Order: sequence, then C-alpha cells, then structure tokens
Amino acid sequence: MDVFSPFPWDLHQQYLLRVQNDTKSWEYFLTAHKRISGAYWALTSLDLLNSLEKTDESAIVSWILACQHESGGFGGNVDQDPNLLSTLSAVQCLALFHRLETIDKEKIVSYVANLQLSDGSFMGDEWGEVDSRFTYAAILCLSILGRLDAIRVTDAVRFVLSCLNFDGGFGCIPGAESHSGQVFCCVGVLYLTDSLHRIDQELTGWWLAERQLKNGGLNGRPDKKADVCYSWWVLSSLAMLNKLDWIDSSKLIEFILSCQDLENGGIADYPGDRADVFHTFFGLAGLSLLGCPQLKRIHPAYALPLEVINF
Amino acid sequence: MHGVSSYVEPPEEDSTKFISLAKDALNRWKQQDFSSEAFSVVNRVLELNPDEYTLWNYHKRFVVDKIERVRQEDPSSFQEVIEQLFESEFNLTQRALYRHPKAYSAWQHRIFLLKVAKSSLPPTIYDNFFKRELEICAKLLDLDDRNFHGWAHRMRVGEIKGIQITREELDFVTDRIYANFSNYSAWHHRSRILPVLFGDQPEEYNRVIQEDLELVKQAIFTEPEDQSAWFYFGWLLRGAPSSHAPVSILDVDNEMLKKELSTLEELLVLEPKCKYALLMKFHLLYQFGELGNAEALLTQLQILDPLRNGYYQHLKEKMRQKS
Repeated sequence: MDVFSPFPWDLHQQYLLRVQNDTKSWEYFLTAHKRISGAYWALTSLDLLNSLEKTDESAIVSWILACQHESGGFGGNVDQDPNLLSTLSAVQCLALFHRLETIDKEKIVSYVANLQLSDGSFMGDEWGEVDSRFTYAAILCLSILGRLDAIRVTDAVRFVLSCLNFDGGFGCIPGAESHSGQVFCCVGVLYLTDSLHRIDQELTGWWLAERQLKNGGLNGRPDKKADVCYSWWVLSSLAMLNKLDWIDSSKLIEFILSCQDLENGGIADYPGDRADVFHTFFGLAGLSLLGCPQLKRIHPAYALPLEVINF
Repeated sequence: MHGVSSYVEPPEEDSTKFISLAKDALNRWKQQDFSSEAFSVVNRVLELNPDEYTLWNYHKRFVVDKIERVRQEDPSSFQEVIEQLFESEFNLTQRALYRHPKAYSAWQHRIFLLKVAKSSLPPTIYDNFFKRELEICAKLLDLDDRNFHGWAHRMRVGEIKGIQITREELDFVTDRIYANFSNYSAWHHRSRILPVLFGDQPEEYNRVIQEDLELVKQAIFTEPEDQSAWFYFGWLLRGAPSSHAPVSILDVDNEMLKKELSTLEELLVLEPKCKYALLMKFHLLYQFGELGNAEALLTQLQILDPLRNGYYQHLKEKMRQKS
C-alpha cells in the first residue's frame, strides 16, 4: 500500500497558484509585510511539485527586485523596510529561478555582512534585534551566494553555540528556552559551517525525537501540541544530523496527510484547520524529506530543491 | 492558519479598505511625514496588524529623533515630554498586544524602547519602565507558566537593565517548579541560572545539586511520564555542564550514580512501564559496563515506545560496537 496516499498533488498545485491572487482576503492584508517570504514558500512548494514553470517568472523576478533597497537588503514587499529574513527569501526565490547571476550579488553580501556584531551574532535589521534565526539567515544567504568568506564565520558559530541549552536544544538568544524553530536555525548554521562535531549530536537528536507525539505529528517544545510546521523544522534538523530514522516516519506522513484540505488543496497546521501557504510549504517539504515520490527532493539546510543548489 | 478551524468563517468584511489604509501609512513613512494625522493612520494599522514591522520602524525613528530634538531645543521640559512620549509608545504596543498577544514586532518594540531609555535617559525616568516590565512578565507567567514571550521578554529585559543573576532569580524559578513539576520552562531556566550563580564555587554547587537531585526525585515520582524533570535529571547526571562552563565541574562519582540507580529502581517498582526511567537506567548501566542488562532495557523500550524505535536501535548498535 502506498503510504503517501491520499496525496492530491494537483489540488495543492492549483491551491498554490490561486492563493497568491486572493488579494481581497484578510490574510492578504495580514501578510502583506512578508509577501516575499510568502512567495518563497509558494514558489518552493510549486517547484517541489514540478510546476514552477506555471508561474509568471519575469513578473515575479521584477517584483522581487523592486523590493531591494539601496543598501542591498530586501524588504518584505515593495514598500517595506529591508531586513535579513526578507533578504534570504529574496535570494532563495532568485535561486529557484536560476537568476542569481543577473543581480548585483556583492551589494547583498555587503548588506548581510554589515549586520554582524562584534560577538559574532547578527541583527535582523539596522534597529538591532538579535536572534539566532538571523545568524541562520545570514549564513544561508551567503552560502547560496558563495561568499561565506565575507563574514567572521568562527564568531558566528561561537554565538550559535552560546545558544545551546542543557537539553541539547537551542534558543533564540543565549539562555532562552529550546524551541524546534531555533534548533533548526542553529543546527543549520552548524551544518553549513561544518561544525556539527562541536555539539553532542546524540542529545540534540533525542530532544528532537521526543517532539513526536502519539498522533504522529511533531511539536515545537515539550508538552505542546503538534503542528505541521514542525514537520519541517524538527525533521530537517534530524536529517542534517543524519538521524531521520529516529522517529516514526509513517506515523508522521499520516499526520501531515491528515492536515490536507482534500477538496480545495493546501495543508493546514492541524487536522480540521484552515490551509495556508506557510503550512502547505512545511507539509510538502516534510513529505519531500520523507521520500514522497510525487515531489522533488529538498535540501534540509538550504530549504531548496536539491537540483537548485550546485554542489 | 495557526489554530484557525476550517469550520470558522473568515471575517466577512472585505479587507480592501485596510490594505489601502496600510498603503497610506507606509507611504507616509516614505515621505517622513510625522504629522499627527500620519500618526493616527500608522497607529490604526499597527493595532490591526502589529506584525507590520516597517511601521514600528516609523515609531523607532520618531522616538530617537524626538529625544535628540527635545534635548537640544527644550531641555527644561525634557523629563516631562520624554516620559509622555514613552508612555504613549508603551500604550500603543499594549493595545496591539491586547489583540495579538504573540506579535513579535510589538514585543520587540518594547525592547527597543527599553534599550533607548537605558542608553539615553536618566535612571529617574527608566527605573519605573523596567519595574513595570518585569511585573507584566510575572503576570503573564501567572496566567500561563510556559508563556514563551513571558520568559523570553523577562530575560531580555533583565539583560538590558544589567540585572545580575541572583538568588532571587533562582527562587523565582524554584517557586514555579514547585507550583508545577511539568513546567519545562522553569527547569530550563534553572539549568541556566545555576552555572552562573555557582560556577566559581564548586563546593556550594555540589551541595545545590544534591538538593536538586531530591527535587527531581519528587518530580519524577509525581509526574513520571512528564519529560521536564527527566531532561533536567539527565543534565545533572552529566555533571551539569553548560555552554558557559562546558566542562563538567561536578563530582559525578560512581557512588552518586549508584544512589540514583536505586532511586530509578524504586520508581520502576511502582511504574514498571515508565519509559524515561527505563532510558535513564539504561544510560547508567551502560556507564557501569553492565551491557547485557542495558541491552534488555532497550528491547523493552522498543516495545513500549515504538515511535522512537530507531533511536533505541541506534543505542543498541553503539553499545555493540563498544563491546
């Protein structure tokens, strides 16, 4: 029996193509400031579904370029201020379309490099918020651009290691409680900088494996409910640690599939909830890591289809 | 959407008018329009959608510029004007958080205000801001003792203020552990505080850890299936290392481990299927070199906890390689 069933990939494709045009919805208003991340989630999902060519590449690329500021950073939309997370999303989108060669990469590199502080950490933008998420965004951005040499990598790694906790997980700043999203970011940094040997991988792996609940889904912290987004954050962390087999993948597949909207396409955070682009991406990305035959393989650290990354 | 049931109808109202309101607000930021009319448009959008980070940047720019301006142009009324400015900024975030308690950008704006206050205002003004901030966090944690923003904000506030970690902080988390042994957040913060408080007093540290082992014992006998105290227990048995003091500074000797083994055995008599107790016992037996008995525990765990079968299999293989 096919474990990846039912999986109406064509409905998901239609949902993803449709949802970006729903400009009158409340969600559209609430997510306008991070439309560029929305674009990344939708476009990567479509690429995983082998349907990127159904999108209007030139219109999307010019819109992305219109989000770029003089500083080199990208805003979440054309009228939004630049920040690191949006800059990463823009770079990922451009990578999907193989358009990185057509832009001024050095400008982006200098924007990212200027956000590094003396302790190695990164600010999210010029206003100074620090978070290990931003270190991941910076490191991944520069890895995609092939310019990790533009920052002090050793210091960045040292900062990430200072966010390591007693349980093998990582927090947003030194001393903050472990959270699966932050574990993904920090393990991602260690993976991309060949530094995974610096941590007790068995302990981190156990903490991640303990995120799986009886319903097969994964949670973000102990005693919390499962959510499809962790099907990506926890699972990709386990994949980077080469411990994907430490949890029950068939139960997880079952959970993700139970969050699908079988009538209109899309995936929700939890069975019975309303689908959105964010969870559709995380659900599909999780299924891709688990080997779903209708999907391209995704890279756990780059969060892009394998074929997009030149190794 | 997070926690939005598919059976709940989305708001009927067309959001077009809010989208154009947001456009108007963003445009005023672009024009550097800080008129009171501009302010009311920006604030209306922030209350509706506090994730609009660019509009918080509008406020940040305004605050920074105003402090400088008043300092130069109107030094005699500085304190009064600036206090008022900060009150209205804090109020705005409060209104936004009332509707969207998890809005990252609104919490971050409060942090920004505290940083600016600490670096450019006299303590007579900012002392009260910090006091109130810690009270808000304590209140949040009273309502929900795992509240992520409550704990994280509390930590950031303490850092900006430059509050040294003290016994009081330890008491704060100890109280929360006693109130609820399943409060993972409180155990986490305990593991963060101990190395800072006692890192340079090994004797005292050892004494505290002995007490903590008693505390853990109470917790695991009360809530044997809750992972909170078990993760903490594991940390103690590894010698309570931390990222700040990565080398274990505690004497974890065989005598101590044997005592903990008998605690586990006591618990397993009452709760023979407690997976965390079995796993912890495995780690101890593995350390003592009792590999045969250790492997039997893994087999038992594979049956009891099939979700993590692969993890237990990994431990088995690791053990076989050793022997």
